[in-house]
Amino acid sequence: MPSLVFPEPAPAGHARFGLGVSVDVLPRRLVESEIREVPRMVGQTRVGVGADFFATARFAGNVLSNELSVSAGYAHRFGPIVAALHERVAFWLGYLGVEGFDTTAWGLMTMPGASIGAGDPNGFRFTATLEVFLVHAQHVRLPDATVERRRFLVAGGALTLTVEDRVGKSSLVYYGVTATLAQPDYQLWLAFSDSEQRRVYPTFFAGYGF
Amino acid sequence: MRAWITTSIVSVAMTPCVARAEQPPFQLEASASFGYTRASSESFGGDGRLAVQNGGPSISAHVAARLRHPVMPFVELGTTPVFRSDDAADLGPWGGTTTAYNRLSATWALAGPEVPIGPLRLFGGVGAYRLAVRSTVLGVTATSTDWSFGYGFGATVHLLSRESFRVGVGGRVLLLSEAELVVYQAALVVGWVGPR
Amino acid sequence: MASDLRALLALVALASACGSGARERFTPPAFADGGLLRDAVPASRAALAQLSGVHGVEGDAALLGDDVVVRAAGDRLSIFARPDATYAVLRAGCRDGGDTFVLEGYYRRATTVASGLVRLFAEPETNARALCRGEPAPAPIELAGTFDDSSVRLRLQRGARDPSGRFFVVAHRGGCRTIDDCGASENSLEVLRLADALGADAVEVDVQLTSDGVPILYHDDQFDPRLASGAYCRGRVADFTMAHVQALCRLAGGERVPTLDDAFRTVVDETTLRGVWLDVKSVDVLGPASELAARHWARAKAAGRDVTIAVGLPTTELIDAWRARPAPSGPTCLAELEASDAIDAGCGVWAPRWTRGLLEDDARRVREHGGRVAYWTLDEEDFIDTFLGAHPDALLTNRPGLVRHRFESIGVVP
Repeated sequence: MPSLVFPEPAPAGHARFGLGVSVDVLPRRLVESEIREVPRMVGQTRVGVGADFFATARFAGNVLSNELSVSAGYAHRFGPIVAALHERVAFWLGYLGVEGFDTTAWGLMTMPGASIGAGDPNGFRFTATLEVFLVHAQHVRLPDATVERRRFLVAGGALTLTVEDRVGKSSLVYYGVTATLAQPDYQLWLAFSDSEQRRVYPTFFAGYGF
Repeated sequence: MRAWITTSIVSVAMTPCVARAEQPPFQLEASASFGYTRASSESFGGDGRLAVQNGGPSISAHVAARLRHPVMPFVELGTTPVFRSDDAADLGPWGGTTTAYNRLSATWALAGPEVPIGPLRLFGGVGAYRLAVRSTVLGVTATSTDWSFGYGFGATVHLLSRESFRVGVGGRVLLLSEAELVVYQAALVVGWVGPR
Repeated sequence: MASDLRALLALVALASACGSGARERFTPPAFADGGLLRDAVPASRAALAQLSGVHGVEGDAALLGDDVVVRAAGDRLSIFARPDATYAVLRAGCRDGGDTFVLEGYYRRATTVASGLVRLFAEPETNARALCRGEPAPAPIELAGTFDDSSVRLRLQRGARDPSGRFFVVAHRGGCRTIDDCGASENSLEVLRLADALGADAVEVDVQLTSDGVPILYHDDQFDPRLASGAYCRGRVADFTMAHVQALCRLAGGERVPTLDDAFRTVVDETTLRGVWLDVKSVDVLGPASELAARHWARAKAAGRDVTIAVGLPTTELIDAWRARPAPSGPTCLAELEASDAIDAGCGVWAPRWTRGLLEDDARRVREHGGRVAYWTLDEEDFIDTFLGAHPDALLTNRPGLVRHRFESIGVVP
């Protein structure tokens, strides 16, 4: 069965599902809303398409801040190393401020990226993934007004290090850390009120694949 | 709050390693470190300090789960004085020039992965740090506490092993990111290895 | 090894999102030799007032856009442009026996934090001579010069939209936030002295209480390196006496933590600000803050200064505490929750958070009861324009220059 993140070519139709949790570590008291301190549940799947192509779908959310994304990619093995190129399309939806959940915002992003991995098929597998965030549209709906931005923006990027470890016959556990470099407009709640021009912050995650 | 959530997630992330039930054995390694810490000079400036004691004796307890993995999950609790000084203080209209008697200490909880390489243990993880301040100015003493998220990295070398007991030396670097403090520690480590 | 360790620590510290560790703070650039103002006679406030208004821009549009707002504040002249929320703070003087009227200072791009030097001359020469004599300029006002190496020419098109100052641009945290790095820390006396040059008519300041009952300006309820410096400056504000605060803490830029008393004194005596919004952080603060507000309101009035002081009530507990007290003479209250709170408590201002929307029906009700309406906190141009469409009486912002420019472009005087 294929890994969840490790960019190995997978046979067509072979799929892996994963469930986990992630939490951003943003500077405390720098942001006014506590929503950023709530961990997100993460569900994801990776499916082999054939001819070394794969597709993924991912949802990460905590009701207040949610992102749904799909991606397609191509993986290739170079001896002990595997590498992949992929493009992810993401839609995020969230609430700005938490008094009565009055204001929602959504945005559309694409995240081209590349991954490289190495490891033991029966043990640990390490993957490094680099993605660039490209924001295409943002929309804020106030109770009685709407603000739209349709402008292209390079909003930052992220480097993720993931460890996957086989557990039992066919399951795996995964964990890792992401370092995100984000412009304030990456997500409007990051830009909300107290954000700096650009921020680097880590995200820790862990989960189970079956 | 967030420091605790992150430390807990990292701890939980480590413990699924234990779920490889078809591959015993499982073994606990516990140790106590008795050491001395020192805060980085960048954390504490030197101006106006009349008497200074940087760091002090520290104590910590460390528990790791030894598996047939290259990586062991660990958790650690520790405490140390960080800095103590008598400082010339300019209170302006609130008392002119006087001396402030100040003390800072830290208690920490770390969690993360540990890698055993023979007698060497390398570990690193996220931490929740609790800082305690005590200051006496114009005869009035104020105390307060603050939490800081951060990281901790360390290494231990076991120099002597006898059955279940081990003695070694170790060191740590504690990065209290939000508090902008770096604390270094060197320690004598006394350890115990549980049965498989 | 030491360098490797430092590199590792730097990498981890970078990923830790702490941000503000050893970062150098912004110091406004200045001409190395003191510039042309070194030998100049300071210009009069009357001369600066003639330069105020909306100016068309000839030159690099990417630098200043198509027009800028020029505004005199005390003995300084400020320029506010739309691109990157750029602002310039200048001083003026006369040289060459009164034949040359020169303005020099610095500009800063708020969204990119780039900065540089500005030098402008009043043209034509007849205008320069008139301004130096304190007389009306005979020709249309033009300012020509450079922003760093870029040449610009500003032509006065019209005066300010709101000469009586009915609309308030309220600067957050006393003028600017520490993370905005405008040259002074938030909630400091230094930033209060800068606020009007940054485009503000009024300031919002945050008030905490020390353990011995002294109201101070500080936003958080905990001291930490985000806003304050000092090895022992950690822990709850309410655990320390004022003597401890003075002994252990300085703000991030090195300034002393000011008392509310000193802040009021600075606003009334040393600035042209016309309003103060007190963000009262707890019920304990309300009493001491209200008493100081009343005292300084009366002092300002006696000195001929019209300073509106609004005591912010962000919670129901504070609203109840305010209503339980005899209303101080002079200052009013500012309710942040429901419009009915503002009306029932007799508050002069209702200030809802912007995420609740324009709330135009509620705003109308507040105005029918004699109150004013403000929204907070608006920094993005899209949102500023949207809320200016509701014709507010005030906007709280971290970008007072940008709000001032947008108000001059599309605002309606309340």
